[in-house]
Amino acid sequence: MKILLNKTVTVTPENERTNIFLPFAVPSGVKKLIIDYSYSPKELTDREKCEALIKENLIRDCGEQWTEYTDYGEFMPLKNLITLSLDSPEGYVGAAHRQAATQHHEIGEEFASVGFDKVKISAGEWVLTLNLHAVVTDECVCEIEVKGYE
Amino acid sequence: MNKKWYPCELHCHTVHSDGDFTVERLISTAKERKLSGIFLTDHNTMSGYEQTQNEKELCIVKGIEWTTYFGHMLVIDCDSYVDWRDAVPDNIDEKIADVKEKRGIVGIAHPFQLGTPVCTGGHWDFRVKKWENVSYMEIFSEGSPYINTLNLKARRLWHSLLTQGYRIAPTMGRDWHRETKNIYKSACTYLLIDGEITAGKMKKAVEEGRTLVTNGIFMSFNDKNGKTAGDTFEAGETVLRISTDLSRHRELEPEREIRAEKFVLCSSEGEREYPFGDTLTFTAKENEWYSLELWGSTDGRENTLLCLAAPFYTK
Repeated sequence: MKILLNKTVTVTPENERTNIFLPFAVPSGVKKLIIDYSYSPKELTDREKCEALIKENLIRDCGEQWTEYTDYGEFMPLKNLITLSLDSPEGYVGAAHRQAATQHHEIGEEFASVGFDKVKISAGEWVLTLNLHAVVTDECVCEIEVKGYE
Repeated sequence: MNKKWYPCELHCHTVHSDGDFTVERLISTAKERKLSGIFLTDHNTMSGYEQTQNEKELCIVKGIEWTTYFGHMLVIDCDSYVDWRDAVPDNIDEKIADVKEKRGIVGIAHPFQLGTPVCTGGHWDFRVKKWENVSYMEIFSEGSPYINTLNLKARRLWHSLLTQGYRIAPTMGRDWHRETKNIYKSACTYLLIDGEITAGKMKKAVEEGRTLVTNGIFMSFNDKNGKTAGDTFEAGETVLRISTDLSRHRELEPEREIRAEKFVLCSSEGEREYPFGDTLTFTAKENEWYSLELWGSTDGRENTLLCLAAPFYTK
């Protein structure tokens, strides 16, 4: 087993709607990749900040109809959403677009976790990408580890 | 030629993204709903499609929902992957052109859904200039207009694009992630297909604008030449022969009543009402689009939009 990528990335709302690319080298002989990923915090617990962001969202997307939304409860608490996507030297392998803030994925020719294609683990540069769909907390810390197994 | 309308669901998710359905469960639920075909459109992945290969009864088209930061776009049956991650408001025409070049088609999902952070990227903020490359738009998302009032905005946008001369098919997208109780079981998009349904014919029906969106009741129509939604008619006095059918609805939701009450014919000039019946006579203008709608009551709500057809056009 070799650790191919071990990274801690701290993101802020300014990074929202961008991608952070984390390239890593895969040596020859690797048959399987294991990705462990987590980010924290998941939720914005400050009720006032939540309400302010929701109001801003409603005004932007609903125009005059924003006032029809009187109960913000269904949108609370707001959540960070930072998904993973993966590229091999041959191209896009897939993404794990879901809310879980702790994820474990395995990628190989015989098996791949949901969201990813089964692919041969070729030697070369791979890229794990953090897709920052929503960053609502002042800071969010993402921990990523990729291990290669022969 | 033996054309037939097939009930389909064009927006489906599984555990390969954030759905609760396994691929197997999605397929079995679709069959329980008497659907003939689906577009499999997980967020930013197509990995679930491999698990559909042994399915013989339900027709499944490989797709992906580009879940970008500026809108959700359905990309269907593209020969090779086009990257969603660098799509931004001002390059969307190039991205769509790339999809088209790879023989894919694109549809706009729930254009007026709330966006980030409530529903990340859900609101359509892309600045499309080449609307001719957009094949379809979800006019009903998650159900009927009165369930989701933002659907009415989608219908308005769609009408304005038709008036500008773009031919865009209307669809319903259940945005199906799990079995939910608040969306009518018989709501779907019907596709008009020549002969037996196949994945290729489903895509072609959408591309050619042969769609019908309903919250339960089925409606079909044709003129004296047998022409219908998606076709080009002669201008002048036109008699549409119209039939409706509630059999699929009654099988799936016998407890919900649907009562058809009137037709509304939409065009660039606005909306005109006609009494419900088996014919509708009107004078078609030249160089116009017409979309036939059926209005009535259901679920205790009066005067609501039940069903709408893709437009027919005049020379």
